[in-house]
Amino acid sequence: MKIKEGFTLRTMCGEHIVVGEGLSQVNFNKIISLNESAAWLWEQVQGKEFTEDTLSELLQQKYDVSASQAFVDAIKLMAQWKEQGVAE
Amino acid sequence: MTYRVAGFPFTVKADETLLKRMENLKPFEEAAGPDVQLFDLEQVEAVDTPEGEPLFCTQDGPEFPEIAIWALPEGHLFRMRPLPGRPVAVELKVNEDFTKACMQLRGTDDVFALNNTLMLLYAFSSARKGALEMHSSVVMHDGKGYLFLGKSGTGKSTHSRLWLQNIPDTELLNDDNPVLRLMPDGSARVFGTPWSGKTPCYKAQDVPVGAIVRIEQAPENAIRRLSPLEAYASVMASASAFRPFKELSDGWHRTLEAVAALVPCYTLRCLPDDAAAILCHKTVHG
Repeated sequence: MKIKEGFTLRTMCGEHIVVGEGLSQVNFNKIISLNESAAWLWEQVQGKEFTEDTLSELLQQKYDVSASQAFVDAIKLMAQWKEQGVAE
Repeated sequence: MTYRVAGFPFTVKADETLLKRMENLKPFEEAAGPDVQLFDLEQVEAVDTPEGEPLFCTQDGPEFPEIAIWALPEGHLFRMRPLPGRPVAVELKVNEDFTKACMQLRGTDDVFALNNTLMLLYAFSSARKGALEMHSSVVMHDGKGYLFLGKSGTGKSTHSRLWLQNIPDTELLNDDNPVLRLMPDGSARVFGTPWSGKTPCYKAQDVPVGAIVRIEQAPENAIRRLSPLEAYASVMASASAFRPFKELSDGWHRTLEAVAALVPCYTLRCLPDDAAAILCHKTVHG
């Protein structure tokens, strides 16, 4: 999976959000709110190919979380990004 | 001719008979001064035809103007049609920071073409200066401005009219495209402009912003204050889009964030009735 071209992570009003910018996302009218760990993962994988394993390993390095919990969280997050249209 | 809109002067060099017909610009005329201009626009005989496919073309629907954009080595070229599939109204060549532009008017409605050109240039060139060209209807009441937002057809103008009919000491400032500015002293003000949709309301006036209210149609009236993030999203959805131009967007988002933190923002779910205006006024005027 990869984060699509044209999305920018910003901290606005004290929250992490993703907005569509640039010509490729000019019709993306939503803003997407990310929690602290999702925002950190976004920064780590932006511009790169990644899998459930990539995110799961990153989560385990950064947070005190079991391998199985990290894997579940990674799958959920990827499903969410796909559904929101920010990754493919 | 020099005009000043929301505090920023700009200069237009164009056919004099055309400028004389621009009634909407007259209240904003001023003598040329020493100030740095927001932009200079010049009418020319011909603009070089762009090569290849455009970078981007708007697809707002059959009732909206269509703008195609090409990248040039030294800026951008915009080609505007009044509606998709109609003949080209104007071609506009703009330098990299949107401060110099030349246009070739090609259609039959030069007033329409010049107004749309000016709105586009104004939105882009003022983006870095803490200004937002809003899609909104605005009333003035008790020394403050109240902006009503909403998608086309949701009833922004209707809600303004309901304020005029029901709330004493209320006046329309602009019915479609006011400018909202973050001022150097940290306050937010709303300005009348030469662009007001179908309502001829071109006022060179400004007031502090009292509140920003998003209008949604609903079977009953209810109003709710938005969180800062919701306010940011609401104002963003109604501010003229710079999103094709990444280089303008940082300043634009900072302005949106500051406005969301500064100005009380609400969503009004409402009927087009007197009670909606009375409820809205009671809540936001406070």
